[in-house]
Amino acid sequence: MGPLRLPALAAFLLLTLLAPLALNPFWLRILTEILLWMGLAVSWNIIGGYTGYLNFGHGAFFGVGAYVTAIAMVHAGLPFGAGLLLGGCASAALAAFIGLPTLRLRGAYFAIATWAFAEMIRQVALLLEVTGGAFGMRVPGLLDPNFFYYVMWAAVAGTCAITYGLMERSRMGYKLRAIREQEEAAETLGVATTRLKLAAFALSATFPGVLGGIYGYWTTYIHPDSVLAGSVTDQMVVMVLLGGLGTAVGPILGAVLLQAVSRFLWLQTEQSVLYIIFIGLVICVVVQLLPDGLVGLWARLRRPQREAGGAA
Amino acid sequence: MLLEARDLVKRFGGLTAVSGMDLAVAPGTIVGLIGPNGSGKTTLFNLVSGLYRLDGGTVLFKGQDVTGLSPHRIARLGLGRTFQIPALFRKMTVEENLWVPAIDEPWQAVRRRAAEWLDLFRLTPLRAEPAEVLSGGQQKLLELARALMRDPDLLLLDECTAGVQPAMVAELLEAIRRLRDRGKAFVIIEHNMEVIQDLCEQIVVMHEGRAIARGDLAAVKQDAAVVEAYLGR
Repeated sequence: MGPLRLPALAAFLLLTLLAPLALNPFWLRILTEILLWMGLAVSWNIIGGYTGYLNFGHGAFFGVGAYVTAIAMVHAGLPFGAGLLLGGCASAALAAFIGLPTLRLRGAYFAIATWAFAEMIRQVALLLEVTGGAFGMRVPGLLDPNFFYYVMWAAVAGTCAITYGLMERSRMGYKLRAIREQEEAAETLGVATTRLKLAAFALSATFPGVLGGIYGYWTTYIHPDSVLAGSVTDQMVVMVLLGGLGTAVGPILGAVLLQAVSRFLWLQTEQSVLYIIFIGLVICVVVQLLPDGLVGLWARLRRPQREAGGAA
Repeated sequence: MLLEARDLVKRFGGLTAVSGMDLAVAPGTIVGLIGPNGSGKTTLFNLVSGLYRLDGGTVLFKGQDVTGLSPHRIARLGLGRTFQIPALFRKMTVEENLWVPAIDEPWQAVRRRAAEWLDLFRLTPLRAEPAEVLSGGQQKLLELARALMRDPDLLLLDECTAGVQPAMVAELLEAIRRLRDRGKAFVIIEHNMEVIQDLCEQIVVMHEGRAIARGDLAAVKQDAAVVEAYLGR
């Protein structure tokens, strides 16, 4: 970390922590949404970015976390904190269960299997009585925007810190990156790939589980078509691809940009269709021009300067 | 014996790639594995290292039955390998490539050993570069250094000199000899007969998935079955 980065990071954290004191509820809500998507994108990056397994069912863990937390509060009478813990654990356990067969698949096969799993979870939530079926579920909430801002902030900061610590500079991170680059070679070098992938999958599922629980408590109503919708995963994937797959900063950058555009378009037109068109355009641009996302573009732009500096 | 592969069989649909193949390797020896393209040499490596599931036969390594064991367990027992097309972690740096196999050991030891191998294979100036920028020959050297990071007892080398510049080949062969003298064993797939002649005490010639000749180079060159396999009737 460079000499200026730490003070800059500290200033950024302090500013965001103090934001509720300066912002009105409307802007605080937008900031809370941005934090939510940052956390989701960072969590997707663990399995999709660092390990290279493109999970198209990640949104299911968000929904499972939301439902388990809500059920724990509504049907078991547990407090929010305990429900949240259960939501995170349930998502991790489900990921480990699903990961055992699906992580043996690779590429498009894994993507399709996880997408099908997410759709299955959505259908089950539509049928079950305990989830409220097609009527959805009301969740007892706490109508204090500041509280949710801080909870979300803490959850996302924790997600980012754990991810950075585990993925960027740890033994586990090196092994996962090796799996992404060349799984067979990693395995013949003594890396227990199946166990590591499973651990990464369960870890990456824990965070959306927790964020889902907070989301349900925040919005006070959840439905399979909101918390288990395929678009939840789609947005996470596009945010990470736009920012930079397998990088620490990329998902955060992608989430801020896309969510800011989403809210701006909604404020201007009060329709979500423009945002969907925008997402399509982003996918085209990333595939054609930015295979390494904005972080990769930044690195490419800086490289000639460094080389020129080195040659001088 | 360090490695004893008995009656190995591997089928891909209707094609039998390896058919009743035996291979024995003693500690401190270098075995050359030669044969025409498609004779099953690389498939044999994949079977022994656990990447492919066997359709028949058994593999004993250090007296332990490793048939059906996953590749990482076999690697941890002391069997290393390289690939015909270097299977590097391309976006990771040269140095990071070397850290991965030994990453559970203390950091200082890992870094020191990596530095030694980089020095030996003249890759030190490139240590902070992504592996993908290396030339084909340098990639071969890096892959060999990476396999050596686990300090294996047996190394399966798949065309390890292909693309490596001649001056470096001589040093590479010398490094292999020194390791052999320390008790390491090698099985080498190689098309360069000078390398085979230089290094190998024993040569096994494969054709259509089985061994058709064994012995030193002079003996196998005279073998009628070998001549027929290479040149046809």
